[in-house]
Amino acid sequence: MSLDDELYGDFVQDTAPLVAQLGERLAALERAAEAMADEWKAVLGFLHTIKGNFGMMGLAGGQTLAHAMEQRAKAAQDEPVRNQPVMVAPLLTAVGALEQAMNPAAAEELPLDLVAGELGRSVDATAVDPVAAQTLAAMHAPQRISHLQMPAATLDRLLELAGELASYHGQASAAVQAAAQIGAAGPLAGGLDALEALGKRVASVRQRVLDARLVPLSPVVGRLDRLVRDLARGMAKDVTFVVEGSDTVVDKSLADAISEPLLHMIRNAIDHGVETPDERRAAGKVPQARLELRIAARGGELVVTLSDDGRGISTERLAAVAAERGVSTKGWSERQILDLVFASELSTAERVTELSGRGVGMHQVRRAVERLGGAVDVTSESGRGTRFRLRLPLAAAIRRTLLVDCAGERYAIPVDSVVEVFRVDPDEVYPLDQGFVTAWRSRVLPAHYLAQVMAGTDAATADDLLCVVVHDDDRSLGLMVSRLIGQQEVVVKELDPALGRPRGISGVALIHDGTAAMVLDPRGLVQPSSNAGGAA
Amino acid sequence: MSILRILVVDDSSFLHSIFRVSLRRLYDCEISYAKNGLEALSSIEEKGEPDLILLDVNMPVMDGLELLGELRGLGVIERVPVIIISTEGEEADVLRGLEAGARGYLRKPFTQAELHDIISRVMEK
Repeated sequence: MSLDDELYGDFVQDTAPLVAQLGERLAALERAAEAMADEWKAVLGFLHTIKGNFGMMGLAGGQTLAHAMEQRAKAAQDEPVRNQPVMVAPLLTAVGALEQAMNPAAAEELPLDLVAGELGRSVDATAVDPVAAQTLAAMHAPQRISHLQMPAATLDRLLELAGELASYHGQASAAVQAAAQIGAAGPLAGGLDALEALGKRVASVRQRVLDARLVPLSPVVGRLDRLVRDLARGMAKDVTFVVEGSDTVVDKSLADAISEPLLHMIRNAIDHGVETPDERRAAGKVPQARLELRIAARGGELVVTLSDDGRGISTERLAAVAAERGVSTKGWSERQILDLVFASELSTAERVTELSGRGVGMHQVRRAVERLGGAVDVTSESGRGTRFRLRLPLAAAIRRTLLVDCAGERYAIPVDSVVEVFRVDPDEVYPLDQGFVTAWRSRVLPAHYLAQVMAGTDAATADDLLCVVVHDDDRSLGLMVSRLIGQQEVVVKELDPALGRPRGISGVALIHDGTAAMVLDPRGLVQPSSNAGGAA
Repeated sequence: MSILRILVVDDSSFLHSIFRVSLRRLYDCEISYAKNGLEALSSIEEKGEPDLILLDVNMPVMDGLELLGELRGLGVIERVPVIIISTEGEEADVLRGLEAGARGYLRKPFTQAELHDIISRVMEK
């Protein structure tokens, strides 16, 4: 992608409103009955910026035109008021040309030099020559609109439709292929070719829609800059905020969703992670703390790290508070103890906030990130600082899932967390604690009857015969279901917030037949604190 | 090399984008943006003096030449090199800016190579 392609969107976004405002000001000036020096000043300001923008975009025609307009506007502001309508009229015409000149393809066909020449004519030369008249007519011709704005929901719907198209296409291909095998191969061959071509187009449509949804993270990150400044000032802390990669582009759903958790993490870092200049001096550090936000897209994931050089999180304190709350951390690794920062029961405790150097609400961050199909982890070194790392799938809105049927309900399980599916004998499923276990790969696998966990229906109905093994980190869990329906790419919609946030469910997927399925969040089900056997 | 801290003062957000993309490709840098001279002054007050200022001439509220005057009054101009970003027809302003202490100028439209060239020359001095 060339510099120009990359920046063209920015160019239009910045320049189009300027041209529109220029037009409004000029229209006001054309009607004006008295001298309006401020209006002219504004007009000249707009023209100047517009000229610079066209120049930087390499659109010489627009640049020349804006320059000619600038010259005429400079002359016009000194003209008596009665002459102003005559002075302004060609400028208004030229505004129309400027609008079209923003589109490089259209600009080539426009007689921009003629319009510019027209602007150089004096007030007295009112006679219109034929070429100029033609030009004027061209300017008033219906305009080609090169960029559109639309509600974001339209793109959401388009994306859903594209997903559905792909799914129907898959089914049709399979059916035609099967039919070709049992005969009538001749007539069906053409159909297969057409289906293959269709499949490519459908994939391309989907990609275009996905591309159209990409937005840079810079607006989100820009707000954080101010937040850091204000928060640090409010708490008498001196913090340098360094951001890297704010021009990373992501799906708009991800850009929307990431803002809140980032805010939370930054607030916590300044609130609790970073020391005051005096504390830092006493600890032998430079008085100015450093907070770094690094954003990068790597291998289908958006990786966001937030690191500070503050006091770090005290695992001893975390363990102590956990013990007070009846959670023994005996034998836990450093990492497991640090992970308690995300435990809702602990991180909401005011004491932990003060003692561990990390604030409230980190469990909300983890929950938000998991809802997006991502993960968050933390590393910390006492006295040296803390680093939080978010990993989020870039295609947050779309997930490849395994559709399963369970006592008549359908669920979608993200394929990337499925390890294996095997047939299980109900007699070899044993109750244990609040759940069940069965044997898998010569070891004991914790398992749940999905229908029981999700719908609270009776466990161990006879037809629960398939076990889908899902994993997260080093944990695995078996989910017993009735039937596999197949793989499908689905658009995941978040649950209505009014329904709360049931653990183990990340959203609802619209599937191709127009019905909905719950999208399971294997992470939520697998992690031990999940109380997933909620029937107890 | 340490991170270059650059303050871009230009009223066009498109030019901010241009500088963002170009400068990031050229240097390991941290860029602040201001839309006029007044914003530039508060940016310097809040974030400290940058290593380099790229300054547009024609801006609302406080233009480039006015800002240069302020920077001179504050003594910033002695420490921080300023490059004027001008447009066709601003030659007189550029001259006045150079007299007022700017170290170099670059005329729009410019290429990434031209930007790199003027920055290298100014930063060497």
